[in-house]
Amino acid sequence: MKLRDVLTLALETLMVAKFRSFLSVLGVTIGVAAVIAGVILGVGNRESIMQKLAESGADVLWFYTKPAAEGIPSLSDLTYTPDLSITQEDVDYIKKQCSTVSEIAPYLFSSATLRYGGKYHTIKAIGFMSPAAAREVFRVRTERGRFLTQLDVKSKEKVCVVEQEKFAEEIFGKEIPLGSYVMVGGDKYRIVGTIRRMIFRFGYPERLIVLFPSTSLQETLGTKKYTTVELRVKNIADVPKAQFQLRQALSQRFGYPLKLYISEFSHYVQTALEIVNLLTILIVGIAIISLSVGGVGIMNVMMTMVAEQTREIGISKAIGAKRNTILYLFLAESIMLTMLGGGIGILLGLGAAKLVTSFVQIPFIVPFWVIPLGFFLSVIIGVISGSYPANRASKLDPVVALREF
Amino acid sequence: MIKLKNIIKNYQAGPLKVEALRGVDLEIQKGEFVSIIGPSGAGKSTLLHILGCLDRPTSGQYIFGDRAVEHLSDDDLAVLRSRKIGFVFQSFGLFPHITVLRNLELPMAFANIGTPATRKKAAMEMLGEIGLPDKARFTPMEISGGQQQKVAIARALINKPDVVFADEPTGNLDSASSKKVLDLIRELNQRGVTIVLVTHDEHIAEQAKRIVSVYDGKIVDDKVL
Repeated sequence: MKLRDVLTLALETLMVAKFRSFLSVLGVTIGVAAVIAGVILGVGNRESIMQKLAESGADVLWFYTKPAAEGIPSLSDLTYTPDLSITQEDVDYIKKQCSTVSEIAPYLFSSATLRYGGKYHTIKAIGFMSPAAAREVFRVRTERGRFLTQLDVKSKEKVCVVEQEKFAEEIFGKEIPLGSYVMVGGDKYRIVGTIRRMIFRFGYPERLIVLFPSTSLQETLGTKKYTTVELRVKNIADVPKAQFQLRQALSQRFGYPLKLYISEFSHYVQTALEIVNLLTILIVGIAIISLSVGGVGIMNVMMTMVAEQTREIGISKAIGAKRNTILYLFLAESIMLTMLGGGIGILLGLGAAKLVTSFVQIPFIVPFWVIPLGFFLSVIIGVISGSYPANRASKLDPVVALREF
Repeated sequence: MIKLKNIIKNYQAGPLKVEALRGVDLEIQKGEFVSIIGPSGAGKSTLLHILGCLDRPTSGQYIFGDRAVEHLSDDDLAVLRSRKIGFVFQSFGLFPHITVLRNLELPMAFANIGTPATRKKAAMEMLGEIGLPDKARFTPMEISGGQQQKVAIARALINKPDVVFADEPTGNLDSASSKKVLDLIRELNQRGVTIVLVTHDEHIAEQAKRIVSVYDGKIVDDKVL
């Protein structure tokens, strides 16, 4: 018997007991729905946690040469005299070695004196070696005017960008005057732009933050060095890997006498990932248990069908059905049942996941493989729970089967 | 066409060993109409199952056409049944959940004959021949017993078998329907179909041209009318 004929006859048989067929697939429906929803919620949860971690700057690593006391360094650790020698070549080298890193931003962080309108103020000055990379690492958003450029760094422009904060208001009044000049150290700088509050990993200093081209600031402060290098990791889940790559790159580039410190944020990322994975495994595990229960339900119904159709099996054999034809007929019935259940389950799972994600406000992300997975599971359950009944049916002796009536 | 030689069939029914056939010799030629008659328990059903290639003898030789049946595999037997043999059962044995037309198509599908379209056409033609073309869309439950048995006979004939085995074909029918079904069977035989009819009813057996009497697992009488 050809496949098409097998499928037609199997479908006709199933249609006889529509309600029973429908009831029998409920277990599979719930199982598949749980798997689909579990996967989508797991992925969404993970994405949500990753987003939050990234927003808080947990996707950034840094290193510097002065030892911090313990754990995350404080502001005072960072305001040492700059003594980190790093060049564009070093940056290029690190970037080449660390595939997981997207941006590298060396900077000089220092206290400085600013004079404006005849008054002196203490500020925190940050000199960026590459403003474009710094922009990404610190998640800078320009408010007015422009941000620093690589050209500013190259030609040691005496320009600066001011963080638009309450300290700025105290010094400059309501509006920061773009284009006007301030004195920093002994040099005259022009304000070319303002930015919104940027992410600063070591706590916000109780001072105005002003950004400079690193070369200009170095000249003003009389140094050629930097304090810190911050690196942004492409994908927050790769933070542990990036950390490993960075450690290797640094020891190769600078050798061990140099003391390098790397952030320990990656532990948090790793822990968060582990919790999310555990939750996902838990949900999917429960789903698989309910799927197995569903499979037992299907097997039960298939056994009933075989018993009920003993007579038809005998007649089929008498009029020329081969053993395999009977086997495929019952397997087809079983797979059709589980695919029906699985199909409904996929829709149900998508719906449930949509509902829950919008309720707890995590992103609704459907991985491309999740729907094929649902169908694959359905077919597998159909094959597993249909094999035994179908095999029994195919082995029925036609003489015995015909005696039934 | 059919040649049985010293066929013995034993089987186990619970704790009991049953000697259903105890040395049967029988020859049936093409075009014959043979009745096998005997009381219940005489072994006529077992004989029919062996003749119909549903079962293999414990010992003895069975030649169907030019093939030794006792050496064939289950699947070979299934192919033989689907192409060369038609069955008619006492309780019709139609599939209750599909239409009369689909019932007629099934043997062709099992034998991989034709396409769905040609099968449908052949089934419709066959329904026309038995005078039930208007019942194509009905399910077996929606037509009378006599009509069901006619459909069952049509199903037995649809793959143009060499022989049709009928097991008490009128056992579940009233006398008027019985007559119609027997008329149809006789007509088929006149058109050249070999018929083997099993019954315990002498009046029905007398419809045939030859009566083989079975008693206690043996052929006790074989007469041509």
